[in-house]
Formats: sequence, C-alpha cells, structure tokens
Amino acid sequence: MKELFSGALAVLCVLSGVAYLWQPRPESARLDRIRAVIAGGRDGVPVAAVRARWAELGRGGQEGIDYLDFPDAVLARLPASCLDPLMIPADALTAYLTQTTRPGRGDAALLALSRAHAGGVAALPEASVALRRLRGALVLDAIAAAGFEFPERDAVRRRMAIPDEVRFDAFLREGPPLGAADRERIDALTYWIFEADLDDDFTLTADEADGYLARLDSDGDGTIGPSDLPERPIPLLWSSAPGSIRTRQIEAFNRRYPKHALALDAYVSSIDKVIVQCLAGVGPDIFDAINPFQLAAFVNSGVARDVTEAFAERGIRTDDIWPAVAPYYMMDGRIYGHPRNAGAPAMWFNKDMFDAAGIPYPAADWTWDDFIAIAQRLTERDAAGRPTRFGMISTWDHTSWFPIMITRQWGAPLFNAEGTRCVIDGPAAEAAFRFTQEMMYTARVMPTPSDEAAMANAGGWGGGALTLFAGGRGAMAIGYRWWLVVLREPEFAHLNLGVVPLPATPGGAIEGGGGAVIVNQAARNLEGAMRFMEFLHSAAYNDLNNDAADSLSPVRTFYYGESETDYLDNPRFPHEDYHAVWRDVLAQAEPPNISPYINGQLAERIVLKYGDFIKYRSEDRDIGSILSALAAEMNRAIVASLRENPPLRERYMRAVAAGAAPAWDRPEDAP
Amino acid sequence: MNRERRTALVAMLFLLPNFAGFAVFMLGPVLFSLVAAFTNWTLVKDVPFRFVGIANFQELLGRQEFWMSAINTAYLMLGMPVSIAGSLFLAVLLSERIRGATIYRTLFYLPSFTSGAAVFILWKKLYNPEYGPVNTALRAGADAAGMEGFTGPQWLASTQNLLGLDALDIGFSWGQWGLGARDALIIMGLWMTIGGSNMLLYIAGISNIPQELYEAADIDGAGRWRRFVHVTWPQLAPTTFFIVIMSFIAGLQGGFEQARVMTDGGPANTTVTLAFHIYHKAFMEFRIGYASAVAWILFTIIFGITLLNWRFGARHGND
Repeated sequence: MKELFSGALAVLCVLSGVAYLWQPRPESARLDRIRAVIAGGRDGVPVAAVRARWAELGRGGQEGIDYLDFPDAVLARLPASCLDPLMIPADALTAYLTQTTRPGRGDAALLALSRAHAGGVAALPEASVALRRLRGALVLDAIAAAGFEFPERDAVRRRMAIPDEVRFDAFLREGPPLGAADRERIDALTYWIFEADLDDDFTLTADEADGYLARLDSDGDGTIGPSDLPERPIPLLWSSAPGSIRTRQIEAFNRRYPKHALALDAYVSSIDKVIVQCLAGVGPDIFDAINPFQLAAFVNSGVARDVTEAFAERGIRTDDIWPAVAPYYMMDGRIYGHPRNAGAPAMWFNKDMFDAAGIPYPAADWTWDDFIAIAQRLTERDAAGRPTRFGMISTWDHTSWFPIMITRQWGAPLFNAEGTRCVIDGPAAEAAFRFTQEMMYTARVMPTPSDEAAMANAGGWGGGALTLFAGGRGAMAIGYRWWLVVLREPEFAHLNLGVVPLPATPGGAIEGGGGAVIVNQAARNLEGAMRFMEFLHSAAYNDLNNDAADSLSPVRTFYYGESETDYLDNPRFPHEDYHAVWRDVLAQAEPPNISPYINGQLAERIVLKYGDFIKYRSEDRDIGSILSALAAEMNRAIVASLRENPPLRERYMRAVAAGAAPAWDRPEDAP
Repeated sequence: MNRERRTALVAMLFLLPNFAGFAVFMLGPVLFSLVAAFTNWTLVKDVPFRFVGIANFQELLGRQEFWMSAINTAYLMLGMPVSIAGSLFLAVLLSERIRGATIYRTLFYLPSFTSGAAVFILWKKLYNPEYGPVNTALRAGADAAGMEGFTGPQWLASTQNLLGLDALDIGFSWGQWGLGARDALIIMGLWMTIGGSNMLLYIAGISNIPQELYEAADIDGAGRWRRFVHVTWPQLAPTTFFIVIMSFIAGLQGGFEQARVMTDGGPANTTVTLAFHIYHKAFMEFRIGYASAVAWILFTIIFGITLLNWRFGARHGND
C-alpha cells in the first residue's frame, strides 16, 4: 500500500515536470508572429522615416490617433498591405481620423458606453457590440479613402447603415471562413497596435508611437529588421518592493521592449542582501535605493555602475529630473541610476471635519501657531480626556524620517552643507523638538507612540499615519502624494480631502524624497538595464506613474507646458483639486541633507537612539543635552569612519581645508 | 577488507552528506570569520584590504556600544533562573496523576509552537503603556488599593530597569530605576519559555526516576517536600545541567528577533543585544571584520561559560 502510494507520487512528480517543460510559451509565440511580419519582405525600415510618418499621422502633437478594434472577418478580406500599420497610407488614417471626430458618428457608441457606465457590467456586451460596429464602418471608410480595392465594401456599407447589430453580426458570420493564414495576419496586426497603446485607452499618441518604434528597434541601430528579434527575451531582474503599481510598470516595460523580460526580485529587498548578492556576482541587474543614504553604500561597495556617459549618449538629461531627489541617484556629480518617483511632504486635511467645525481651510501661508490653534479645535476627546480623534497625525516610527523632516523644516539640518559636521545641537532643532513634544504631550493634538499603537489596534488598521488618517482618526496629516494609491480605493471614496503646504517656517526647508533605480556594476543584462533607464525617462513611464499617483514622476518637464493639464486634472478623479500643491512643494523642496563621510545606517541609528529620549519624553533629560550628546556621538562616528577609510579622509581634509567645519573641536581629536 | 572496516566505511558513507553540508555551510564560514576577525574587511571598495592583527578586538573592547550591548544581553538573561525554576515547578505538577494532564501540557507548550513574530507583536500590544491590557489591569489594581495618580510602567517605551542601569553610559543612575523595555522582554521571555521545551525535558526526566526511590522515601516517612529535595531534584541533576547549559547558550545568542520585530533595539538602544549588534555592524555598517571579531568574542564567552558549567556543574551532577 505504502509502495503504491509513493509510486503514484513519483509518477505525479515526473508528469508535472514534463507538463512544465511542454507548456506552451506565449512569449515566444508572440515573438514568432512579429518575426513573421517583419521578415515578410522589408528588412530594415529606417526608423527616422517611420517616425516622420507617425509624427505626420499624430499631427505632431499629443493628440492621438484612435485605432481600430478590427472585426476579424473584415480584416481577413483586406489587402495584405493594409495589415501593416507602417504601410497604411497617411491619407487613409487621416480620413479615418476625420470620421471619428465627425459629430453624430460616435453617438451610438457613446450612448452605449454611458449606459454601460450607469448599468454596470451587465450592459457592457451591448456597448462592446456597438463599438465594434462603429469601428467596422469606420475602417471601411478609411480603406475606401485610401483607394484600396475591396469588393464587399458596398455590401458592408449597406448593411452597416441599418442600425441592427444582429444583422451586422450575421453578415460577419455569412462571410467565408477564416483560414489559418488570415488568423496569423490579424493576430500580428492587432498585436502590434495593441502593444503600442501603452495606457490601453485605444488611442495612439505621438509619444506612444515613438515608444513603439523604440521598442521595435530594440538593438538601437536605427532600422527595424530581423536583427531586432531575440531568440528569447533576455531576463532582466529588478530588486524592488512588490505592489500593483510595480506590476503595471513591469508590464508596460515588457510590452515596450519584448527583447527583455523584466521580472521583480522581491525577496532581495534589504540593502545588505543586494550588496552581498551583487558582490557575489548573482545580484539583480537593477535595484532600488529608497533612502538618500543608500546610494553611498552601493557606490562605496562597488556595486553601483557609473552611467554618466551612457546617459549622455542616450540623451537622458538629468536636468529634467526633480533636483530634490538628486542624492538618490547622483553622488559627486556622477550618475548611477534614475529616480522612479519623487515627492515632498505636505499637509493632507479632511474637508468635512473642517466644515463640521466651521473652520476655514488653511491657506498656503499659514504658520505653526495657526496650525496648533486649528489642530486643537479639531481634536476630539473621550470622557477620560483621551483623544479619540487627533488634530494631526504623523508618525515617529523606527525610521529617522520624522525627526529629520521636522528639524529641517524648522531650519535645523542634521549636517552642515558640506556634510563634514553634525550641527543638530542648536536652538532651531531644540525648538522643533520642543514643539513636537508640545504637539504630542501637552496640547495632545498629535498621537504619542503609545496612542498610535493603541489606535492601530482598535481601528483594525495597520499602523502608520496614512491608515490612521484614512480611518478618520485625524483631521490633518503630514503625508505624500503617494497616499492616493490607498486613498483612491473605493472604501475611502467618502473622504473629502484637501492638501496645503506645511506651515511656513523662516529659514526652514522641505526635503524631497522618493526612490531611484540603480544599475548593478556587474549587470548581466546591461542593455536591458539601460533600456529601463530610458523607460524611466520616457513619457510612457512618467504618465503611467503620474496617473497611478505613486508620488510624482521623476521627470519634471512633464508637469509644465502642454502636459500640465493632464497632470492637474485627472478625468477619472475630478474631485482631486490638489495636484498643483504636490508639484509646487516638490519644486521648492531641497535635496536631503546627508553626509558622505559616515555610513547612513549608522547615522540613522544614532538619530534614533537619541530621538527616543525626545519621542518618549524622557523626564530626566532636557532636549538641549540630548541634542548635544547626539551631535557629539555623530561627530565621533564621523572621525572614526575617516580613520578607517584613508581615501575618504583625504577628501574630508580637502573639504575642511576649503573652509568646512570639522567634526572635532580640539585639534588632537582629528583623525 | 575485513568486516569491521567495511562497516566503518559504510557508516562514513552514510555520514558523508551530513558532514559535507556541515563543512561547507558551517565549518568553512566559521573558520573564514575567524580569519576575517583579524582583517579590516569592509564592503567599501576604497579601503584597501589588510590584516590588522588584534586591532578589531582592541577597538571593540574600548567601545561603549559593545559593552552596552553585552550588558543588555546579560540583563536579559536575568530571567533564566526564574524560567528554569518555573519549568521545573510545572513539570512536577504535570507529572502528578491529574485529570487532563495532557491538555495542560499542550496548553503550556502552546507559546513554543506559536510563530515568534506573532507572539512579539501580540506582546507589543499588551505592553502599550496607556491603552495596553497590562497597564489597564495594573491601574485598576492601584485604584482598588487607593493609590492616586498611578500611571504604570512605560514598558517598551522606557529605558528604565530594575538594576537602575544608565541608558547612555556604563553605570547606574537613580532615575533609571523602574520597569522598562528590558524587563518587558524578560517577562515575555518567561511566558514563552516556562512551558517550553525545558518543561518537556523535566517531565521526561521525572518519568525516568525509578519508582522504587519514591517508595523507599515513603517507607522512610518522607513528605512531599523531602521527596522532592532528596529524590526528584538530585535525580534530575543531569537534566538541569543540560538545561542550564542550553539556556546560557540561547541567552547569550538571543535578543535578535525581539529587537528586529518589537523594538528595533530601542528605546535608546537598550534592547540591542550582542547578536543584534553583530548584525548591525556587519550588514548595516558593512564592517565585516569588526563584526566577526565581536562574533568571536561572543563565541569565547559562550565557550568559557559552558566550560565552567562542565567543570563545576557536571561534578555536582555526579553527587
């Protein structure tokens, strides 16, 4: 009995192995189809010529070309030359474009769509049929305008004129059966067009067309031909945190660059694993730097690749990128990667809570005094006097984000401008922390660490300012634009929110933050990695990220000029009136203040160690003495790190010779 | 080849896979780390690799962080005797012929097969100074006793401890006397370990004690307590010896998971143990050589204490 069981198990194992090996590979089937189309006669179409054609078709702007959801039976009877989107004459498509914009023509489809919108999923098939019919008619018009021979044209036209989808469908069914070759051609064509339409809105914009061409010309030699086709996509491994946005980004990249197969390596998330794996030669091709001091660790350990020249060759201009995230990908003027998003903190507020309390929404030039008065009025307490709703939510958790953010905002950076000395031990930082303690312990308008833990417990949410704010536990919250990723979920649709810059502080600065994707020095798929850098700089990526609201996109030029309205007014979320605030705070934000002379993890640990006395309001230590001890330990750590690293020490001494304040007070303490 | 040699060869062959794994994944890295401890190896490429002799050891012995984490480690081990005594007490109780003994054993063993991270997160909630059940109960008790204004310990949010150890310097300070994060971890540790494998070992040990000894003690007119002192405890000496050694080793290596999940070493690094310190030096600051030196110091301490146990504990066990 036992033997029988293990025998069956063994057979099962072998069978599943065989099944795995023999499973159809959709990726290579799709590539084979593209290969068939490209190999079909035209070797090496010059990209420049095609781009000119597309520009002409797109009328040179962002205005899109609506492409067709061709009914299969109609397509099957079209002349072969019609099936190549590069070969459809401009006139045909222009004619078609005119048709789509003609008043009245799209009415039926629009009506059906709006009904589908109101009627939910059940009405969708109806809308789909109407759209197909409309498109069938339009493609015939386009073909006719191009002067192609198409014998059934009149018959189709006659039947199409009768607004009856049953009869239309019947016509399609009555036609001759499609052969295998017809299917191939249809598949190839629809695949090409569909793949070019990165945002799936059934409209090809000039940018999409450009990206489409770049994708086709995957070897970058300026022509599209068989040399652009790989035998099999080359793996490209990206170490980053998983999530729905990441999935969308990866799909978009893979559609654009079928030569590469980008995949997420979500299990190599922490910096130590990335460095150790890269040094061992088995690291990901690209990996994330998610705080400003990680880059130094990557560069110092030799796993980050200097791509400064490669960026210049590929025309990736770092001037276009938000300056506030520079430390995430640039060190000493050299470039090691490209940001994937950027943002700066601002104050979210709940409009309904303001309205209920009869308080006007805060103005952009408000002060921290205004803030605390408002926050006190918006805090609600239970019978025992404990807040049930806080005026403002922010979290001082196990990262140094909060203490660094608040002191910098109050005009007290952690390090001096050169990063040679910790200068947190001053009156500005003291005032910032005194104010923080007042918010938490005296005025009780911001949760203490134990309040926060308790609310996270009671509300059923996870921890964190975002979930507390979204759960209605606070009237205001210091946060980022990426909060929208959560706040747009249907369960938060009832929230009526606004955003205002943080209260102004003279001499204070807001720090930018975000994430960058760094190229591995030993990337096995270096070409893919560089393609990904181009992708991060492209309109396709920036639009996608912007629309997904994962903070702001890295390239700032997409926020001004022609694209401005796209960013400011997202038709899917018309009530979001605050996108300009996010853009403007980021535009004014400064790069994070870091020191190149100390390991960032160690610096963060020191900030956290002393910060704990402030965060938990230690009774027997005053803020001034805590800050002096913090600065003293940080400066000792800087000296120790210089002793260990002679080249770093030389660089440091040069900076000191040029006038930067050293980390030591007595000359005998110098390294 | 004679029969004996052939048997030996077969035995070797069977042992080989295990030994190969041990050699590649344990012995190799351990020896490598011994060599690394005498180098300045960091993951910073600008720093030329060189042997630095005992510089790492000199540095770490002169560093406050090392001593603070050693003190934290030692402090967290203060719960060990209580934990062992508790296990013994439970084992004696559960060895009685009581109804449902199996159910009790299972219940007491529950914390041991619950996921550590889940337990830590649960205790973090329990210890919330203002809203947590622990302090709520304490406050209710204080109210009943007529104590005005009792707030309860700050637990994980406090650097205080029962010895009054200072949070920033090596030494004592009056203001630090109280219950804080380290005590919270000790109490949680007791909850997790009293009913754990130590209890099972004791139950097994008790069941191995020959029944005749108890019968003889009965005839001599020994009561419960004398039976325990003169029969059970001496008979359990080898078990106790084993448990003490294992607890020392676990205690000296411990504290990493708690620090990672519950406290991140806080508040103010008071829950940073040697194990967490090594992790941070090696994989956050990338000072592999230095971290190896700390690891070898830790090993030396463990080895020394185990040796002492063997020397004095084992002799006692033979009495």
